[in-house]
Amino acid sequence: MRELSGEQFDKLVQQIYLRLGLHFEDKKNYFLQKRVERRMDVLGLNNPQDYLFLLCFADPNGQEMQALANLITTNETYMFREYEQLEAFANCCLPEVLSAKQTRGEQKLRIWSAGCSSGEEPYTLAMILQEVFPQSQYWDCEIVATDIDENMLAHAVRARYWARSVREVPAEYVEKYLVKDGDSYIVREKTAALVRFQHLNLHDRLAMRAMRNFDFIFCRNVLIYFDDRSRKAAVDHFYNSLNRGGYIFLGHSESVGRISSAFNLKRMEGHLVYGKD
Amino acid sequence: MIELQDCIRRLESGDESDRIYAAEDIGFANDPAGIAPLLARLPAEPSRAVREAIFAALIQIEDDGVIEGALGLLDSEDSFLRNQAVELLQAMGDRTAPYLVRAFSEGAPDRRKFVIDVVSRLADPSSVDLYRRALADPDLNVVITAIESLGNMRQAEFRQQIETMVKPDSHPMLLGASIEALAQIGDRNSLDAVRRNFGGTQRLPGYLRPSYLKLVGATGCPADVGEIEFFARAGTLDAAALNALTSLRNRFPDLALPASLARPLQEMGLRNPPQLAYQALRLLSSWTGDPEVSEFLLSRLHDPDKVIRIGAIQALCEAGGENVQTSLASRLSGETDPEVLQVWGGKSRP
Repeated sequence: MRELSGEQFDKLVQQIYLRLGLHFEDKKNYFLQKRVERRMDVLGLNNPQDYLFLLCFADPNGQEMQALANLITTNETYMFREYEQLEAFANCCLPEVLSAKQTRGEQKLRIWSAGCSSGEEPYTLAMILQEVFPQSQYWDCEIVATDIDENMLAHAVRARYWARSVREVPAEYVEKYLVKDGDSYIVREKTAALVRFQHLNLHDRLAMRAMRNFDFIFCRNVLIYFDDRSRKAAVDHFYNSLNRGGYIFLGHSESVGRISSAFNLKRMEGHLVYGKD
Repeated sequence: MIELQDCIRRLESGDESDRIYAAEDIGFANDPAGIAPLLARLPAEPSRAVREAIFAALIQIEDDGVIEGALGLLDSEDSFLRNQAVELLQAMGDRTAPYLVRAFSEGAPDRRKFVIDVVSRLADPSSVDLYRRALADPDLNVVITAIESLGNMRQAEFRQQIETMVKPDSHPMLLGASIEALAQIGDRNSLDAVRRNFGGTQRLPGYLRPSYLKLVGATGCPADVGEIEFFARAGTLDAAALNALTSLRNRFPDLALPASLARPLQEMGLRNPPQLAYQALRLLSSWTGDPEVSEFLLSRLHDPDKVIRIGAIQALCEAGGENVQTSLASRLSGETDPEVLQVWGGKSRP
C-alpha cells in the first residue's frame, strides 16, 4: 500500500494548482493516486511523502511536475470536449456579449481558439455560434484558430474527422453541421467558413500583439505545457487581446486566477468564468 | 531595437494595453536603466494587469538593482506589492543571498519575516546562518516562519533546536509549527522528545493533537498504533488519525492493525466526507477475512459517491479470495461508472 493520506492528497492538489494552475476536486483522489504511483515507480520511491517532498522542494526546474502533468492531462481532442464549459459559453457568456454589442449597435464578434490543434475546438465553437445566434450570418463573425504546428493546421483546414472526434457532438448538431462521408465526417462549408486558421506561436510576443479585439478566447489545456514565466506572459497577452466585457476560457480544471489576478472571476449558472471588465 | 525612453514614456500612457506592452518591452530590453522607472510606476499604477506586467519585466532584467528594488518593496503597506516582491526575489535565486543577509540584519520584524520567506527557496550556504539567526529572533513570527520553512525543506540539522521549543509553556503557534516541522523532518527522536517534554502524550492540549498524530504517522513504529487508536476514539480527530494510520502503513506495509480498530474505522467510513471515508475503507483491507468487515465493505458498493465505491473495491480486492470476487461480481452488475469498473477490472493499475 502506497496510499496518499488525505493531508498528502491536499498538499499534492495545492502544489499542482500553484505550479500548473490545475484544480482537482476531492473525488479525483483515485485518479491522482494512480498517476503518482506511476511516477513513484519510475523514480524508485516507496513513500508518497518522499514524492511530495521531491515535487515541492527538490524540483527547481519543474521537470518532475511536467512529467506528472503529462500523466494527469490528456492530449486527446474531440468536438464538444468539456461540454459543461461550452454550456456556460453558449447559455451565459455569448448571449451577454451579444446583447451588449446589440445595445451598442455593433455587429462584429471575434473568437480566438488558441492552440487549436487539429481544429475540433474552433469548429465546435462555430456550430454553437450558429445554433445559439442564427443572426450570425448577418454579422461580421470570425473564429480565428491558431496553432504552432503547421501539420495540425493543415489537418484542421481539411475539416474532416473520424467518428471518434465527433462522438460527443449532439445528434441534432451532427445532422445540421456535419456531413458523413464514408467512415469520416466533414464539417459543412457554411460552418467551416466561420473559422480562419492561422499559424501562431504563443511565445512570439510581437506576433501575439497583433491578436487584438477578441470577445472570447479559448486556450484550453495548452498553457499547462508552458513554464511559469511563459504561461504568465501568454495570459498577459490574452488580457490585452480581449475586449472589455470579454471572456477567457482555459481547460475546465485550469485556473486563470492563479496565473493572473487581472481577470474577474464570475459565477454563471454554476459555472466559473473569467472576464475582463 | 527597443527605444527605452519611449517605453518609459509609455508607462504613463492612459491606455492600459500600452502600459502593459511598455513594461514588457522594458523587460525585453534588459537594460538596468529600466529598473527605476518600473519601480517608480508601481505604487501609482491602478491596473493589476499592468502591475503584474511590471513584475514580469523586472524578473527579466539581469541586474542586481532589481534585488535592491524588490527588497525596498518588502516594507510596502500594499500587500500585493509585498507578495509580488517575495515571488520576484525567489525567482532570482541564489544571487539574492548577500542582499538578504544584509536586509535581515538591518530590517524590521516584518522585513525579516519576508526575508525568511525568500530564503526558503535558496540553496545558498548563507541561508543556514540566516536560519540560525531567525530561530533566535525576538519576534515570534520570524521564528515560526523559519521553523515552517525548515520543516518544508526537511532540514535535519536544526531538528534538535526545534525539539527544544516543544515545551508546555511555549506559545501555541510556535508549538504547532514546531511539531508540524518535526513531522516533516521525520526523525524518530523527535517523537520521543515531544513525549518527554510534555510528560506523556495524554497531557498534550487538544489543539496540538492533530499535529502530534502527524508526527506519530511520520516517525512512529507499529507499536504506536495503540496511541493513534486512543486519539481516534475521541471521535473528533478522524482526519488526523486516518492520516497517521495511512502514513504508518505506507512505512510499514506489513503493519497489522489491532482488531479493536475495525469498528471505529467502519464508523469513520460512514460519518466522514468521501475522501476521508475512502481512507478508512482502504485501511479496512486489514480485516477483509472478517465477515462483518467484508459485509460492511460490500454495502459501500452502493454508495452514490464513486470514491467510496472505489475504496471498497480496492479493500476487498486486496484480500482476494473467490468469495469476494463472486460477491463483487454480483454487487457490481449494475455499475456503469467507467473508472469504478476499471478499478474492479484492473485492481491496481488503470
